[in-house]
Amino acid sequence: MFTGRTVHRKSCLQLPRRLLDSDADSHHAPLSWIASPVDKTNGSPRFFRYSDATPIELFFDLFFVANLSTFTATHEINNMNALGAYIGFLGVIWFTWLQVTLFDIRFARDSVFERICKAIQLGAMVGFASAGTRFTTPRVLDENVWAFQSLSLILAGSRVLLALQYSINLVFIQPCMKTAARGIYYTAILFCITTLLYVAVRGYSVHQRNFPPPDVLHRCTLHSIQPMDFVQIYGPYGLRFLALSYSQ
Amino acid sequence: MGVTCAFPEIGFQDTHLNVRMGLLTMIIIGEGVIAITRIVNKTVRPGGWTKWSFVHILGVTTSVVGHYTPSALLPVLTKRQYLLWQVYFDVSPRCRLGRLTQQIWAQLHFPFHVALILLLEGSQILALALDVTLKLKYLKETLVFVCEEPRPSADRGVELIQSTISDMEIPFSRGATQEWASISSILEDLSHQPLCPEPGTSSWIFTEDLFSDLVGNVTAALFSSMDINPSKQVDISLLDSRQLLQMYMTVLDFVYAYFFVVASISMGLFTAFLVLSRRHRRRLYLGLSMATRILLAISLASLVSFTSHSPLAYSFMTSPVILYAFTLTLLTGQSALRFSYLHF
Repeated sequence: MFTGRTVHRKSCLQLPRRLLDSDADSHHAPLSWIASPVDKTNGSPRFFRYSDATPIELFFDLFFVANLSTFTATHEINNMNALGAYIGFLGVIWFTWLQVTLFDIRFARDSVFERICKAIQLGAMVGFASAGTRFTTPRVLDENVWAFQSLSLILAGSRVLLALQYSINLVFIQPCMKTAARGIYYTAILFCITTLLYVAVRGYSVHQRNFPPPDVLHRCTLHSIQPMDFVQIYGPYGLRFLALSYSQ
Repeated sequence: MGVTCAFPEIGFQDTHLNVRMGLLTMIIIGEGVIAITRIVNKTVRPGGWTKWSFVHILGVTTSVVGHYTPSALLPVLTKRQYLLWQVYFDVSPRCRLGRLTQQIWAQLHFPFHVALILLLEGSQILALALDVTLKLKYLKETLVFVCEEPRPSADRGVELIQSTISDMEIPFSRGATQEWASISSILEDLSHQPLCPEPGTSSWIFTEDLFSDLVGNVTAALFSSMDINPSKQVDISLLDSRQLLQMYMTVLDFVYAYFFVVASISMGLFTAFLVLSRRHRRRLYLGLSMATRILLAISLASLVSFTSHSPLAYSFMTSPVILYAFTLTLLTGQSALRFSYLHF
């Protein structure tokens, strides 16, 4: 069943559709504290849909590329270790971008809450850029351990925020779209598990000055996390390889 | 994404995920364009536009710039298309994809973006290495020029050599302080003796050695500034300038290898996107386009084998042809696409 509906707004000003879409909420009503992703105007409840990227989404993309640019400026890829670090770091930022995007394209609507969440996600991207400058493989030098620990924390923060965003949407969706709500519920739980994994990685590294052995994360990942999040785990997954060499 | 397979109500089929992926791809390519403008500046600023700098820049630019490449250099032609961009958007879906297809299409973007970033990064390093060879070529030409008729005075000759080196804008502070000291000492020595003695005399042999040392130190300084250093087992003081350049190019073998590996992967992923997006329904057309791209991917991967034969790899890496290799493959792929579209 098609559950989505593209937002079309009429305006006396001939603005581009992107602006109309993104500003749609603010044209007709003051910015709400929190907005429901469900559109009930036509009887059966549907999700609001944008046909194009919103300005805030584009702004988020810029942070991704700024991250990439900073990492490229501080790392020359001319050996295997640098290549490994590069792919590992790309995994971290790309999957964070993807997770945020997957939420935005389906459930995000302009509101004070969403803007605060986005600001925090942008902050996480800046945090990645800061930690990325010390992201080297295969050996983690003593002076760089903080970068890996903070990376785990930032990843945990980013995922717990997504869990919160999904949970809040659950409140709006639960009464009218039961099946969809169940999916969102599982997604939120998976994000909570992911958060715990990242916190565990951080805790373990502080305790042992090292990272968990591969099989622990591998088992947790395979059994409890959706296939895409398995790849998303590539961040600390990469860290595992570093940890192995570090411990040797 | 796994959850959406079980709960299609929250799937991505009616969202603008494809738009977001496309925009991110474009931004990543844009990042490569910024790097290219930097390389253009780096190549042209020291000596201005020359035949070789033009060939190099054309090569770097065509790595991402498309069918109307000269437009990047000639403002008369304002229309500019990007080959990578064009190939990508030619194989992007225009209609709603199936649930599984949509998932695969989105997930393939991680390897695709990694390959794209590495491709752009690799082409930059290879272009910078070519830029080094270009600068060394200028230096050698200057060394020949100072001894050609009408011969400039010795002081003027040393000044010319000095200005050629300073035009290279080498950041000596980035790990090349020793080379800077050696270069200064050689220039000092050159100014205290005949710059172009009679061939065969002992002074001539001494000056030849000084010239060779000068080129060697400049080579080492240029590569050090790119953060490319020889392995500790190699004693670079025993190598002449040509051997030194060859040794540095061997260090870059890794970059050469991953550049062509990711180029091949990119081509393979374009094939996968072509199948997933189903822009064209005709089987013959699809089959021909796929076959061409797979062949091109294999031919790009086969270029990695050059690294097993050092002289071949060295010749390829010091020639601007390397910059055109991927462009030509992209062009061939696009031409095959157009040809099969028109005829089948």
